[in-house]
Amino acid sequence: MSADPDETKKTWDEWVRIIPKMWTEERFGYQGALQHAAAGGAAEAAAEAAPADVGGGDEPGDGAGRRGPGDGKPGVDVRGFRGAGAEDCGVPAAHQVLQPGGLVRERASEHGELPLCHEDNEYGAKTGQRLAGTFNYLAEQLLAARQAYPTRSYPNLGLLPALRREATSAPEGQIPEGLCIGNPDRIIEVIKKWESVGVDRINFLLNAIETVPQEEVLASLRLFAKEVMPKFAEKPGAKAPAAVGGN
Amino acid sequence: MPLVGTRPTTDFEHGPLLRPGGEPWVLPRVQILQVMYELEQGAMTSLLPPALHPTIPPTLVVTAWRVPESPAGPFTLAEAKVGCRSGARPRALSVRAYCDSAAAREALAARWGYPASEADIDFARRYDRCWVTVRAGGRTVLDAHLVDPEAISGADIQYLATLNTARVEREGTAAARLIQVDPEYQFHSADRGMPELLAFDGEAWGLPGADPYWPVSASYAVADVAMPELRYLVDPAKPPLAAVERLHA
Repeated sequence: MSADPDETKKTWDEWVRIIPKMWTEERFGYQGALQHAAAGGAAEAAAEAAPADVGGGDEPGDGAGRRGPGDGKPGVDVRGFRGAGAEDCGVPAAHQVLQPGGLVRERASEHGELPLCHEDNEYGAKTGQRLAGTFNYLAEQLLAARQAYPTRSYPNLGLLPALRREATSAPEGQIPEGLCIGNPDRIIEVIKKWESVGVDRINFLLNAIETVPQEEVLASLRLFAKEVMPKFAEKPGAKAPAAVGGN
Repeated sequence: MPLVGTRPTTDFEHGPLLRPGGEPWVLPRVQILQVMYELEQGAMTSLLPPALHPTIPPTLVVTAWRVPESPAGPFTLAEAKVGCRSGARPRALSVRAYCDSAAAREALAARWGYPASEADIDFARRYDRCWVTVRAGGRTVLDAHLVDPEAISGADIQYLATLNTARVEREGTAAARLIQVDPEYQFHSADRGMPELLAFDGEAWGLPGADPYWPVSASYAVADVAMPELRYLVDPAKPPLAAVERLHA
């Protein structure tokens, strides 16, 4: 796409701000580090601010373009608790969310997970680690930006290799502390720890090339919905969401 | 599962015989030019043995070292490698390399398995560009440039560990193995720039069908290079998860 890797994080942040304004404002203007548009109609402004390149994802906490909490830096964190802690960079990632009526700046932080929920803690952990291992093996086949292009913007290998480190961080025979695998009690404990370091959203990757049989994936989802999700309901006494995955 | 190489393992039976041992080599102020191109996907698996996975996307990594001082005297080494994965580990496969010094060729082959042939190599650094040109068998087999250099930190550069095509003694016979060579680098300076590949003869590098079509990156660095003690070998004929062997001294 002829994007300059030095600039992709900056352009990403700018466009995350610019696009919602284009959608929501009658007349729009923007003077940024890389994009400039004089105030005008949205279509006119869009033409003027057409991107020279489009930003990609991000690795929170890598030092490039680091911002404080709530500054509109989207991303997904895959580091362990310590890497995501307040002593590092505060909330590692934040989202701007567009809602009806205008732009809402929301303080949010996401974390990526390979979950496996099972009544038997040992079985769940073992199966979950197998799933993480398969996913990581596949992820490592991709060429990371850092491996291809020397730039300060990508000092870390990125999202997928970071998942690998997290999944293989525990000593032999132990469960990596940040992984949502095992029985419901353990997973609740892990999610609470993530919550304590500022994470308030988790993306779950459910399977990797059928490593876990589909029936077990569905059973894991149902158990998670029944036992884990109610502990994190926004309103006290809220009903647990319906189990997903069909019959 | 990920793709694996489909290249016949007989293609890896002609490397130099490894004879490790000897004093450590630390090469001061080596000039290193690296040029990366994306390869056409048609040869994604046909360049690699069954022990290796291709990267997504597939890449060609040209590396040239101008070594002003070594136990074998000054030399220039040029490699054109295929980016790959040994299991989950990033590696670069070298089937054939070129070196302009007979003494260095012999030492590099014996101690680290470099499959280096004789060539005239021109390595030059100017303000506007840096280049390496390799002439072997009366023709130019490589002409790679870094154009418009700008200073960066050496910490921004990541070199892949090389897998050299060589042979080792196994039960009285010479068996094909890929030798993992992962030197340590202490950087003095570094630049990056636009990559430009003006000539590349895939056959001459043991990479038939390799078509580098898209420029990715180029870097130039001056670094002290500590040649490694060998630790790992790869059996090219085995599947990736069973192919790695530890080398016992």
